[in-house]
Amino acid sequence: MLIRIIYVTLILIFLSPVAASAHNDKKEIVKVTTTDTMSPKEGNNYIIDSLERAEKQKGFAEIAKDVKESTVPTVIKALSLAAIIAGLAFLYIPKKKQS
Amino acid sequence: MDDIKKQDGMSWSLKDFNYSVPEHAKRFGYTVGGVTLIGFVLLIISGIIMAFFLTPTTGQARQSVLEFASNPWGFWLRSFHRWLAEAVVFLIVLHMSRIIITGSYRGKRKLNWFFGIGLFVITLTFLFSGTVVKWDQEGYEAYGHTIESLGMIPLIGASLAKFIEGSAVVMRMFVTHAIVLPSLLLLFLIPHMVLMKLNGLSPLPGKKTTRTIPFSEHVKKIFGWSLVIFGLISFLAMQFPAVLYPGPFVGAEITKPPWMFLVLYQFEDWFGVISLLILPLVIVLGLILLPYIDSGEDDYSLVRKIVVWGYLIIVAVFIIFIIHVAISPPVHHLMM
Repeated sequence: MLIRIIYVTLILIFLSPVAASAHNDKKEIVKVTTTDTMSPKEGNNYIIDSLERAEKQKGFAEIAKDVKESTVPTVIKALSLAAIIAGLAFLYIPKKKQS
Repeated sequence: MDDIKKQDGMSWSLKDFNYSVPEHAKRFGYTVGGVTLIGFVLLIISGIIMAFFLTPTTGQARQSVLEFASNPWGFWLRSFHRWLAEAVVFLIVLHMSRIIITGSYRGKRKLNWFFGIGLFVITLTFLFSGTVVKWDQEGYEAYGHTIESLGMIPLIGASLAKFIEGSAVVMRMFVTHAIVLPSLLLLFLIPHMVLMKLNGLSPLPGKKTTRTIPFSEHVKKIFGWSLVIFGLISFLAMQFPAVLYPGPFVGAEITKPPWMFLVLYQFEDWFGVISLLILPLVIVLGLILLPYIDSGEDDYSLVRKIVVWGYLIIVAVFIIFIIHVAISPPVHHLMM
C-alpha cells in the first residue's frame, strides 16, 4: 500500500509541469515592481504611509490598557487555569492498579 | 494500533516505544529535561506566528511589534513568548543543577553533558537575539553592549562587530534568531536525545534501582508538569505583560537586561564591558572541565562533595548578585 502511494505521488510530481502548462494563457509579461507586492491598503507611497501609520499608532501603555479592557485576558486566564488544573489531574489522580 | 507491524511488514510496534525506565523517572527532577523540550516546541510555534508580522528593519521593527500587539491575542502571544523564553532558561538551570547534584555527567554521559552545555549557550543566545530584534531601548542597549564587547576579541573581534553593526543589524539578528539558532538547536538537540536514549536514565546517587515503570508513565509526568508550568506562564504573561520600551534613544542607558544576564551586569559594574566576554567564557570552561575534575564513580567521594557544595555556593552568590542589581538603579556602562 505504502509503495503504491509513493508511486502515485512520484507520477503526480512528474506530471505537475504538464498540468501547469495547460493553464498557460497568453498573458502579457510585465516586470514586477515594488507597488505590485504591496497590499491595496498601503497605497503607492509606502514610506509616507508608514510614517502616517507610525503617527497614528498608539503607545504600548495605551495598547496594554485597551487589551486589559477587552474580554481576551479573561478568556486566556480561564484557559490557563484549566491547563494548570488538567496538569495537576494528570500528575496526581491515582492510577487504577492492574490486577 | 499495536499491530502496525503486521500491516506493513515492519519490525516495530507502538509497544516498542513503551520500554521500561527506572522508577525514579517519575520524579520531578528527572522530568525537567522533557518539560524544557516542550517549552522549546511552544517557543518555536509562537515564534513562527510572530515572524509573519515582524518587519526586521531598524525603522520598522518596533512599530511592527506594536501593530501585532494591538490585537489582544497578539498582545498575549508576544508576552507569552517572552515569559516562556525566560522560563525555559530557568528550567535548563534546574535541569543542569539536577545533573550536577546527582553527578550525572560522569562516565559514559560525558559527551551528552557537552551537548547540554552547547544547548545552554544556544538558548542564552536565543534570548539575547530576540531582545535585539524588537529594536526598542532594551534591544538597542543589548546591541550596544555586544558591539563593544565583540570589539575586544583579539584578531576577529573588530570584523565581527563591523558585520553586526549598521542599519542591517535587526535583519541580521532576525536571521540569527529565526534560522541560524534553530538549526544549531536541532544539531545539538538530536544527539542529546539520542545519547540520552542510548545511555539510559542516570541512576539515583548511592542507590541501585531495580524497580521499573513503563516509559508512557514518564511521558505522562512530563505532560502533566508542562501543563502546570506553561499554564502558569500563560496566566502570568497576561497578568504581567512583557514590556515594549520606547525608543531607541542613542546615548541613553535606562534598561536592565533579563534576570539571567544580571550577574554579568554586576561584573560589568566592577570590571567594565570586558567582563561580558570573560565571565561567560569562565562559566562555560568550568562546566566543560567538570567531568574531568569529578570523574570517579564514588557518589560519596570528597571531590563529589566539593563539586556539589561549590556549585551551591556559586548559585547562592549569583542569586544575591541578581537581587542586588534588580533593586539598584540602572548604571551607564557604554561609551556610546
